[in-house]
Amino acid sequence: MNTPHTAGPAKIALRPDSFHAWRSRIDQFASKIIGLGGLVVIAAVLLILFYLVYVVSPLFLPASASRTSLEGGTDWLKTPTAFLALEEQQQVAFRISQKGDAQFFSLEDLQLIESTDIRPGDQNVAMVADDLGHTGLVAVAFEDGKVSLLQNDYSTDFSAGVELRKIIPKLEVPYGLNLRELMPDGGIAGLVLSDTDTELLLAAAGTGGRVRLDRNIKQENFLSGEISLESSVKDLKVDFEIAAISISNDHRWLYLGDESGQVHFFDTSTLSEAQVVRVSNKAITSMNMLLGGISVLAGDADGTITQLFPVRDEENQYSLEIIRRFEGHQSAIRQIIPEQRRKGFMSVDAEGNLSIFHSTAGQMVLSEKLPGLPSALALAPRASGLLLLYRDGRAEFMDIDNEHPEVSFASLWSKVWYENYPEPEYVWQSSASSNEFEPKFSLMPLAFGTLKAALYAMLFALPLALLGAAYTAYFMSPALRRMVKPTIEIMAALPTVILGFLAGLWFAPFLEENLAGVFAMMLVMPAGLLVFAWFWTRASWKLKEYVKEGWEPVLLLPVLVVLGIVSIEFVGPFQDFFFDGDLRTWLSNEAGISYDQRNAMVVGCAMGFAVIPTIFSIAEDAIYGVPKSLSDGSLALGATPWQTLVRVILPTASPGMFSAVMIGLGRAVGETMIVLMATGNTPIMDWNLFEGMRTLAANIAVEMPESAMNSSHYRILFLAALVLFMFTFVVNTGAELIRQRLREKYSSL
Amino acid sequence: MSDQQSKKGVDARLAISTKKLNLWYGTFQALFDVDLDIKQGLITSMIGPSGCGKSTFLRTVNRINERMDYVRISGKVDVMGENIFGSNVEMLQVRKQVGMVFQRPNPLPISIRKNILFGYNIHTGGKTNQSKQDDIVESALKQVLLWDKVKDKLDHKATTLSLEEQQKLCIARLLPVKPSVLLMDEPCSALDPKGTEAVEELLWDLRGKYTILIVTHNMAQARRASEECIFMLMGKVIEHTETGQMFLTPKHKETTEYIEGRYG
Repeated sequence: MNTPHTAGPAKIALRPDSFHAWRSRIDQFASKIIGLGGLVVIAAVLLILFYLVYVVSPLFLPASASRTSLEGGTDWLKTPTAFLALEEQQQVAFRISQKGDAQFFSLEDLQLIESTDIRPGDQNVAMVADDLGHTGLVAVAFEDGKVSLLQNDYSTDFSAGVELRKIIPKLEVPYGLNLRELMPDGGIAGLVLSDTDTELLLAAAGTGGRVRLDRNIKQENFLSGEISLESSVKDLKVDFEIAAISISNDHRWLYLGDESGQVHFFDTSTLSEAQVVRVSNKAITSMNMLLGGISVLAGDADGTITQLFPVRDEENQYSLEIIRRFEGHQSAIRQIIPEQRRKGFMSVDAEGNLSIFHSTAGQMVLSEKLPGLPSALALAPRASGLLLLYRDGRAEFMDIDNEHPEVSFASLWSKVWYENYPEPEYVWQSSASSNEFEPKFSLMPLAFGTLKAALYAMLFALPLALLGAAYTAYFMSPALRRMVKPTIEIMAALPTVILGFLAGLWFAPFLEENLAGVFAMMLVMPAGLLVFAWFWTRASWKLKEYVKEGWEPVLLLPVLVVLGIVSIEFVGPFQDFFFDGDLRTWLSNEAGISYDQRNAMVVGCAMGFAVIPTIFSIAEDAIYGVPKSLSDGSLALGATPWQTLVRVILPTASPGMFSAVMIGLGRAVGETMIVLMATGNTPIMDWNLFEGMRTLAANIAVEMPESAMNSSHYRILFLAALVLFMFTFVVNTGAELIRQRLREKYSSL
Repeated sequence: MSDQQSKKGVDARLAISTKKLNLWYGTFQALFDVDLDIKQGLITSMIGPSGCGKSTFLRTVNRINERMDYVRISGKVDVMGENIFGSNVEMLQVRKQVGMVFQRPNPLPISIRKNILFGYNIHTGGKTNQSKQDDIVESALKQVLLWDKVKDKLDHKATTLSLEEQQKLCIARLLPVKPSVLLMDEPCSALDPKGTEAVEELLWDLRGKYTILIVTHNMAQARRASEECIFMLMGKVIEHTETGQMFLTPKHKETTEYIEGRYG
């Protein structure tokens, strides 16, 4: 390098033009490819967002309905209708006329398929009641107060192919042809039928405050399989005129609506009045049970519908509570028809307005003005169609598009009073074995669980990762740093399923066994570290000459391991002294803190372990990247390395360290496998360190495989994904803004 | 001029005195038996090609090199008559005596005022009242001829100043600590000619109050701005004499070649 130049003639080598053209083409090509790559990334993220929005959006679209007039031979339809029902495929309907004809007819051409006279004598039909469980069983009460039981049943004939399937209706009498005496002197005002596996119950209300309960215990002959009924009849006399009668699905509660707007609540076993609840100042005009037979819906003369159900208190006493009201009708409610698959219902008022509500969501999903007051209507089992008959013999069919009535902002994000719950709560419980189950789609417990898991993970990871990064970047010997940094970065490559597996199957039981030991470690290890450091700086051992500055961690490591083992092994006596022998039992018995094996502490440690490499690596780079001239300047002024670190290095590195923390947080929020495996996945809302949680991400992983495509559940899971997406988006955007400001404030040049 | 000072005891006129100073970076030896005596109150310049050990020498006097674990030092360095490697010497005291200015201006990313007070607060524990602090800031900035330019923006970030002003600020922040020696590692290499001139003027201004040891690549600068000059090559001191004499009648062949620009 020190040889003097031998000056030759200055000459610039010229390259042919084709070379320059080729080079600029390559240049342009490369810049286009890189630009395209960036655009593709943005487009991919946007596509994910759009797909999520596309799947989620039907949840928030309003319901719609369209009516079509049914044409055909309608002479037979002119007789008054006492009862109307639709079968599943919406091809065949079942009608009982007041004259006592049970008729099946096709909806396509309004032609009768079958008609049977069911009158025992010349009595007309007074009232018909549908089974609460919608089994097709109906109770037909005649004017003299006698009742017979019929069932409309359907089978499907696929002989012409699936597309041309034919519905074959059949009228059956599963409990025999005999008549039951339900209201001896006639004057029947209300009728209820409920057929369960163990009991067939008939209840009737009559004029003058008469009520009769006919309970029939089912006995199955174990040889023939025949079912015989053992009847017991109970009578009740009340001192008000009964406007409506309902009974709960478990046959335990009887509800009577009166003409002054009160609901009377009876225990059927004693037939004593338990409670009177005033739901309105006007007469109750219609009552029915919601699907599941727990909630009773009472409609009044003003058009308000009130939902009530019995709530159990701590002493196991039930009291009837008003849960919510549904407004929307302006005149008396004529009929309330519950949906057969969901907790929704339909109501018709005296002016011919028809509304569809959903009880859990507490909202009206649809309202429609009908051309007149229908004489009878039947809702299809899937609640996708409605058959309407008018007095003049006209028939209409209403197509209802109402896929997601249970979703409203309130049902997702605020407290909802679910059936059988003592008070409004946030609950996520999306599915159960039975149709009658009320799905509970509150996203709050999941959002809470996500934040809880992330918080505990950050509590564990932040001090370790940031302090470790500061030490490694600033104090550690470069040779040691070259080993330590890649080692920690390799930890990031550890599959999270392995971390989850270790956390759930090894660490959780270990923690349960050694809870006191682990807490002792948290006290003993930092204290021991400080004591060791103090001795190290004071002592003048010979050993000190062999350990150069920056290599102390190698010495510290065995000390920490020994301290850890000592904490675990010798915590026994302390545990005996302070916590009566076992910290875990002491926690639940004395402190009232319940302990789950897979809890937030396990998740905090395991997920903290997963995010440490990310935070450490980025923060370490940020600290190491602070120009050496800055630390030199500070040191040369007499600042100690510690003062330099705290006053100069850390503020200058703060934008990068902040990014590290935010990226770690983003990872902790979105992390799925560890929380899935290391928590009980119980969607509870409790900050308790020793209880689990369910996060949005884990919830999607758990439930997506079992949710029916395009169902409300499926779409709500996508909504959870969208919420997660938005959450990370907001956090990252906020983080970037803060980072920019920090960078402005502490940029070194 | 004779550079053979009495070796007995400590000569009070010497600001820096080294004996058999050797320094290794790992296995690479950067300084070989450096014996130097630098007189108080003078501006001494150090010249020599890149990698000859000038900066290493400066950093050793300030004990900044020791933070790297692969640095090994043998020999003796006295600053103002005290052995800086003595077992009872605190690093803080060494750095209080010996201020350092770096090649690239390195003001801390905080306000001008806080930059000036940074070292002072570290040495005094930061318990000085406001008016005293104001006086310190004013006097330090006046000494480096910066006061009039920045007196209205003391709370602005130091990094918003021009490079020349930043470098002056870096000198100014040493002064409240009251050092006796200022080490300058190519303080003008990042500056334009006008800034260089300003800093050189400042150096002449500070002459006498402080012992200044300045490393430079700029021969003209060494000639203009120093009273004594040291030429180093490959980690060894080749020549140490009065500046005028060094540039007129160098004793060694290497010095002549370097001054004439044959290498470096």
